Parts: sequence; structure tokens; C-alpha cells
Amino acid sequence: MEAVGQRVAAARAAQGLTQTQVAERAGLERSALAKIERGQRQLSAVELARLAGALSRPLDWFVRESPPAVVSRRGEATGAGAQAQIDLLIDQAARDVELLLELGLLRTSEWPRRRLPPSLSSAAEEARRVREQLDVGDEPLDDLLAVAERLGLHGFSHIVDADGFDGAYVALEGAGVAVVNGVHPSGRRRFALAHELGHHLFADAYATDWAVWDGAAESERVLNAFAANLLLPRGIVRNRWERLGDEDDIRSAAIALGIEYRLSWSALCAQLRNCGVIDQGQLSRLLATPPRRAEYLELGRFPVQELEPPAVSPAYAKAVLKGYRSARLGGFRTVELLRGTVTLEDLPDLRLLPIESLYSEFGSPL
Amino acid sequence: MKCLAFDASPLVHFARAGQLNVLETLTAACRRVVPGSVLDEIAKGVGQHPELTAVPQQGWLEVVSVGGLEGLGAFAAYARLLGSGARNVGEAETLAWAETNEAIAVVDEAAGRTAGGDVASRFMERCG
Repeated sequence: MEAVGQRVAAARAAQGLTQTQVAERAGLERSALAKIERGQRQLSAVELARLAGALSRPLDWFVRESPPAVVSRRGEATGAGAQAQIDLLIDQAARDVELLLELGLLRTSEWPRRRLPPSLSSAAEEARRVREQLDVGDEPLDDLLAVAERLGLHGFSHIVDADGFDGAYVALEGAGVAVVNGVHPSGRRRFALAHELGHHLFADAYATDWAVWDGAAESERVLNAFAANLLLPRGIVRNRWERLGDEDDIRSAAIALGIEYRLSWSALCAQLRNCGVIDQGQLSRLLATPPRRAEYLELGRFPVQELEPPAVSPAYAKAVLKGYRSARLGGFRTVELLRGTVTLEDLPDLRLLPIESLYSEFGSPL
Repeated sequence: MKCLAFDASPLVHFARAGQLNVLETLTAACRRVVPGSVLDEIAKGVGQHPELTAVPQQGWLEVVSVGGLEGLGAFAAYARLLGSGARNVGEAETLAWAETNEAIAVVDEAAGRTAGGDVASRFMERCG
């Protein structure tokens, strides 16, 4: 019981709440909560459920250890504020994927773990190899959540109220889990997921990424180069530019390419510059004026939104629903696991047993 | 003696039909228990269905609760499958109590029966 009490105290501290505040929310006496935290008082199931609700944590967080990569990370974490919120989100996503793996609803994946490329150009080469493995040719990677799942990475999109937070990654046994911040526009969310895919493929255990595009660390810049080249390979950019006539407008071509490959404007412009098809002056001018709605109208094409929060990846969603259909997951849990992308009313009816079938069990006198 | 741990639904159905005495007769050969969380859940429905006040007055129903790390661990494990909202706590505690006390859980949600595994499905298999 002491361990449970310590976790209650840790969860309370992470949220910066006093014992009085938590006790009030959970309908407990403050003195009772103090004893629970010190491991001097037994907790009932109802009290544990109320405390979990009051502290906004899943119930099993208090009695079941987090995945190893999350645990080892915990020592380094500041334990409060936005980082704590992100750690909790990734912990929750990891627990949910682990549950589906345990129940055999999701299969573990084998993906070739690669060494972090030593340079930006070798990152582009790695991106080319991953595209080859996916057998996608020069095609845009539409539905990036589904693409990532083919490589064993299950992605989630959540609103995280933390300025600059882009995404986080944790490695599990046989799968990877990523959370991207849904507050950003679609292109930035996709770029964040591609970046997390880099953490996954290059065998990181745990990562949280803030303002990925401005990443100063060399390893983060390598992952950005990987992400940019995965989403829009250099070869495609160069081919497209070779076909541009003298009369063609670079800006229109850039906008069309951004829509087709679903990149944010800033990521697209940077990739054009990295590919050497525009100079520094052109880059500055393009960045200064993001596309306007009228330009999309002129092209007759509009950016497609992806990873709209809340979002879960398709194989994960299918696994959850298989669990519901086979009665291994309850209705409420199904809705929780699907992050509210469905409601109870959206779930199909399950077969019910007739009450008469229970008679024999009790040695019924009827 | 066989022991039956009741979740809310069976008790609610019999109480609303005014037939809790029939349930008592049907199960007379068994020890019958109900977790405190299930009684809490039923109490919330009294405003809408006053006949539910009869449930906690049944002397043959023994009130129990899961205890210790083992009990809470089992409870959390079931909540992991069924959900941990107000409406799932009773069911999860019923299954957890049944598991840690070698009882049979009487639950009606399909997932609860599957989650119960040996605790509940053994019972359901025989019921066809």
C-alpha cells in the first residue's frame, strides 16, 4: 500500500495541488488522504477510482508500473508543468498500446532499427531507403498515421496546451508510440509525426520534441532532414523544377507541391532551398508570404487536413473495435481507448444471453 | 459452498420487478455478496427508481470490498478492460473480488464476462 500512497503523492505534486484540494475533489477527509499517502491507511476500490479521477490519471497508473522507457525517463523529468502533462499523455498512449498487444489485438512489429545518420545528406539517403521499403515510389505519403503503422509506430494526435510542443515518442517491446500536438496546422503535425518516426527507426527510447523545426541539436537537425526527405524526396523536387518552363511561376509550383505532398509552407520552402532549386533571396520572399486562400482557388486545390485532434492510427482503432466486438473490452473502455473519436452510441450492439440460460447455474428450484 | 458476487444489473432488474425474493430463492444454496461500490452505484439510481431502496435491505446479501494490494491490483486490471468511469467501478470490483475470493461473478456486460475469464466465463460456458 505504501507504493500506491507514494504514487498518489507524486501525482498530486505533479499537478501542484494541495492535500486539501485533492481530498475535496475525491470526497475524502484531508487526514485520510495524508494517511493514504504515507501508506498508513487501506484504500478501497471506490476511493482509488475517485483519487484517479481527481488526479486525472488512469486507475492502473497507481498500481501498475509504466513501460520501462517511461520509467527510466521519469528520473530526468522535471515532474511538473507542461512536460509532466506530455509525459503523462505518452505514458497513457504507451499503456493503451501495451494493453492491445497483451490481448493479442495488435501484433508486435519488427522494424529494422537503424543507426542515426551521421550527416544531413545521409539522413536523406536513409529516407530514400525507408521509402523503398514502403514501396511507395515517388508518391506522396498520404495518411501518415497509416504509413507509420506499417513501420510499427502507432501515432496519436492530441491537443496539448504547451507552447512549442510538437511531439513525443516512446519505444515499447515490439512497437513504438508517438503523440503529436494537435494544436498546430496539419503540415506541422505531419512533419512532427515524420520526425517521431525518425526517433522510432533510429532506435531512441524516449523523446519529447519542442519546436522541432528550430531544433538546434545536430541529432534533431538530422531527424528533420530525414522527415523532410521522407515526406518530399529531393529527387521529386528536382524533377519538378526541371520541368518548369521559363514562364512558370516558382511560387505557384511551390504551392502546388506543398498541397500534393502535404507539407507546411516553412518545411516546403526549406526543402526547396536544401535541394538547391531556390536561392536564399527566393527563400526569404517565399517565407515572408505564406499562401493565401485565393491562390488555392486559382490552383483549384486545397490543403488536406490530417491528424486532426483527437486522432488515433487506423490499425490501433481497428484493434480496439475488434476487442469490443469480441467482448474483451467494455464499451466505456472502447470509447476511452479511441480517445473520444467515437461515442457509446456509435458502437455496434453485441449479442445478449437470455436470462433463462442462467437457471441451471443456481440449482434452481423452478 | 459456492459464492456469487453480484454486479449492479442483476440486482437492479430483480429489484425493479419487485422480485428480489425470487433471486434469493434461486441462489439460496450459495453465499451471496455485493461490493460496496455496487451498492453506491445502485443508490444513485434510487431517485429515478425508488424500488431500488430494497437492495441494501436484503439481509442475505453480504457487503464486501476488495482490499490490499492484490485486491486493488485485480480491480485496476479489470478497470483496464472495462473502463474506470463511475459506471465501471462496480463491475470491476465485482470481478476483482470474485477473482481474489474464488467466487463466481454475476455480471451482465459481455466484456465483463470475457474479462472475468475463469471467474465469469466458466459460469457462462455452462449456461450456454
